Amino acid sequence: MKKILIPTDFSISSLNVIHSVVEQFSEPVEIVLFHGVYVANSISDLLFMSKKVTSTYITNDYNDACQVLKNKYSSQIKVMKTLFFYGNSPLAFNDFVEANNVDCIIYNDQHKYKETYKYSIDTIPFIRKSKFKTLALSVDAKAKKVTEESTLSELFLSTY
Amino acid sequence: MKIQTRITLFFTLINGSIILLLSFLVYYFAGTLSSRDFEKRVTLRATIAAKLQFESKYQDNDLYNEFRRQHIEILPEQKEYFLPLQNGKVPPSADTLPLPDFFYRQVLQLGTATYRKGSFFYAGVRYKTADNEYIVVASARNDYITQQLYNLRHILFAVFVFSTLIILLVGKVFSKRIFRSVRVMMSKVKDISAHNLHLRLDVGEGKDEVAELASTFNNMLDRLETSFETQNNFVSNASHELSTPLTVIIGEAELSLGREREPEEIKASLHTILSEAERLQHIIRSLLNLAQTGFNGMKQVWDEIRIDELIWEVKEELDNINPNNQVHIDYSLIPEDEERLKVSGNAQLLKLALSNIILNGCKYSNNAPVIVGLAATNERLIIIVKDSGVGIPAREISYIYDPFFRASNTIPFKGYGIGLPLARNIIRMHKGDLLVESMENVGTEVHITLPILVND
Repeated sequence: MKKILIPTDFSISSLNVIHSVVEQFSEPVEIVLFHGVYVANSISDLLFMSKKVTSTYITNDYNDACQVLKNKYSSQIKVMKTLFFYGNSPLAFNDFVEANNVDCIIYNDQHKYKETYKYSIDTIPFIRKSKFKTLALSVDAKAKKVTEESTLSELFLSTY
Repeated sequence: MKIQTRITLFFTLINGSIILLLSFLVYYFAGTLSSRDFEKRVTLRATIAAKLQFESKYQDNDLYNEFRRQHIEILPEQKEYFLPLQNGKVPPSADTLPLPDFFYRQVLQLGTATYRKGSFFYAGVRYKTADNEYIVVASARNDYITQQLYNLRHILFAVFVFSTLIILLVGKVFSKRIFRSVRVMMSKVKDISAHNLHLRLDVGEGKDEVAELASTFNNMLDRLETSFETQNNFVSNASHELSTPLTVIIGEAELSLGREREPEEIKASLHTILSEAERLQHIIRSLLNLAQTGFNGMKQVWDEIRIDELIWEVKEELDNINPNNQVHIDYSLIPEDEERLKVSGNAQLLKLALSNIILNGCKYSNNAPVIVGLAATNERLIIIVKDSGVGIPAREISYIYDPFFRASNTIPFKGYGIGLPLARNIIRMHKGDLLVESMENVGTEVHITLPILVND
């Protein structure tokens, strides 16, 4: 079983890459989604930044989307979870990858990863610099958007 | 009984009983303390009497007698008795005194004893002279204690009655104050009726229970007002919708009967009448459906339904109704485990709801592609119907579930505004949810969630 690390900004469209990931690997995979969180160094941040804060980052829609994908590929995706990477440097990111025993890091070239929350950081540069096996896939947002907010419909593969 | 009176009475009862208890305690302790004090005084008299009787150095001492007369008060009915002991036992002459045996026994054992009979107090002292032993008994009537306790009793009773009255008064004022806001609210609520449902209660600044009650009332009034208005709108819209085809039918019929006409003209008239009658029938049928689902009668048959099959059936039906439709069913997110596609529900109703929503999608986008997607989370099934039609203007989106409401940009399209409320009623009956998101001129997305049937 391959363990695959995928960055997410908690938007539904950032999960679109999972369709291609499943296509790429014929064997069962374990998908670890992660979101980079800035490690605080000011006193007030150290006082008030806790796991509670980051746990509010995961929205219901995101959770639903993860469950939908897991159900869709239930025979191939064995585990699907979301982690937070706390760190500000490529070195810390390397440690994070190593500690999680990741086989491959995959990200979407076409997706603009946003720094969604106050403590979010852009981890794409770290991924590019990392010494591990990295794969950049190009997945377009296929479905046409009809709403302002990101919804589950962005996961559909129809191109109408 | 009003709560206000009840509170007053309860308040008075509690306070009155506390005062009563206090009075009893004061009376009891005052009584015991003063009788103990009097016992000491009588014992002192007995000792003094014994010393005077048996010790010569006091007997002829003028100074002592003077002192005694001046400073040691003679108690009311003070009497002294000297009982010489015979072989360490009480003499028979003691029988003249109304004293019990244990009194003498105590005197012999402890040296002193006291006894009380009514308001008379007796004190005995054992006294030893050179040749014999005596029991000296002094007795006196306790006038002070009776007088004092009598006074105290009266004072306490007066205080009790008086303070209870005051408490009653205070309690009345107090409870009145508490319930003033409730009374004000009551009179305000009484004023509100069907024709002035817009009235609201003053919530005030406080965050107390009364303010909460007021805001709860206000919320209820909000809901009532909304549903009342919806109902009013519904009636006027329904009568309008029903009368329009009727007017056309009547007009056509009158026109045809007016004078002799060519068969073609009559045929055309009959066609119009037929199509209007069909329209009428359609409206009435949808109204009936709406009413049935709204009443939640639960007479329908509930089955295990596979949603993907249901969607296919709906699609086939749609192809019959509207062959030009471009409904695409997107199975790209369908779960592998088909157990996750099952819901419990009434197939007929769910079909009705889905076909209404999908037809809306086709209609308002002029048969542009409509995507029907199916996905499942761990607990819920999600059906997404997406079109790229005219959309719904943002400020009208909150009214879309009102029966007969039609958005301002739907005038070119034929419709009655019953489909969506009906669909929502049906979805709600199935414990699901229907959400509509839309951007004007871009498209509309309808999210339907239904709970997945759990098979144990």
